[in-house]
Amino acid sequence: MDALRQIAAERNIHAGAEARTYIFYQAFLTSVRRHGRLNELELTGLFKARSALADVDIPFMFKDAALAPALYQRKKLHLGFKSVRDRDVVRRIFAKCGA
Amino acid sequence: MTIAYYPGCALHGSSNDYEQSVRACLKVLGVELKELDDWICCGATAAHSINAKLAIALPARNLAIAERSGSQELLAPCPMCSMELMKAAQQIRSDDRLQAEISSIVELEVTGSTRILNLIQVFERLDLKPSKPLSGIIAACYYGCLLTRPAEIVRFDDPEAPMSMETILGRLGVKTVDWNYRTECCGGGKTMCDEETVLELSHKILSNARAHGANCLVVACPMCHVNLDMKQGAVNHRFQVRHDMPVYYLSDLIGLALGLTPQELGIDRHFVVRPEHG
Repeated sequence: MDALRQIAAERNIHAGAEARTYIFYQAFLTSVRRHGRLNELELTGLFKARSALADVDIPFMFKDAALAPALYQRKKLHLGFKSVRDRDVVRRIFAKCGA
Repeated sequence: MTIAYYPGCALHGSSNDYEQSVRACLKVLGVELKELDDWICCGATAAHSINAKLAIALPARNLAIAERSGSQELLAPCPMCSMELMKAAQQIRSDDRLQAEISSIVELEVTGSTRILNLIQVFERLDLKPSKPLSGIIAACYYGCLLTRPAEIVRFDDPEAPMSMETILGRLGVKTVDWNYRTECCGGGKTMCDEETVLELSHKILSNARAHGANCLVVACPMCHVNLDMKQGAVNHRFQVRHDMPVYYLSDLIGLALGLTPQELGIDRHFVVRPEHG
């Protein structure tokens, strides 16, 4: 199954219904490439922005924003996110994998 | 006892209540966690859905860091992380050419020799002596997809009918129920990109647990917790129900039984809270 997904990703082929999932995975890896770890706030921003470019859906854009105050209240929003120290090695790993 | 520890992104992100619970509970039990130095993301579903080499390299970098620190075992409380680490280790161990290639990519020698542990496996080794009865709790233990599957990779418990969490909770005198959705999927990491699927699956899980007499769910996965706890309000709204079902991490109930408070375990930071359980 993963092999088929990877081949589809290489050829830039996505089923319409799975387009958002693919955008999500791409946004996830963009954040990891930049920081070495996932920055959840950045992931949310990247995913929503890239989804909007593919298909403008205003309720979808702002749906998860409603959770932000509750997450903040529970100390689950990390405004002071820290990247890994050796970000260069992470970028080299991505480059060597062709990602 | 000291164990090398890979928190993964979720436990340092919005699932930091899970890390709080794990740390508090293991501290009381005399287990010191030694966090891997400068660990990186395991790549999760995103990597193995898009790039096969990256899906091995990202966890392999962490395996290499663990090996360099001399760790024989590594605790990864997130089942997605532990599965990705195990999968990479297994592939590296079984293919010398791949081992050399991945060592070159991650810029550290890696052999895949470190044994990866999930949280349940650590609790199974420990002497759990409850100081407080949890008599009001009737738990439905929910394993989800990744704690026991793929069976050939994780090699833990029965992949379709696991009992390890029930066994641990039984040692603490906690009642558990037999129910149907213990190893069904909750939607995993699709919380944001396919919420409808997550809500539907979570609704089925919560409904089945309730129908079998449970008054709470017990999980050992941060993604399952997000979908069943944080999204429970959205499930209620979508299906016009009121589940009101607290979702505890396994370490929450063990911690409570050991005498820790809900605040010390981070239970007060969950979305569905039932104070009478604490």
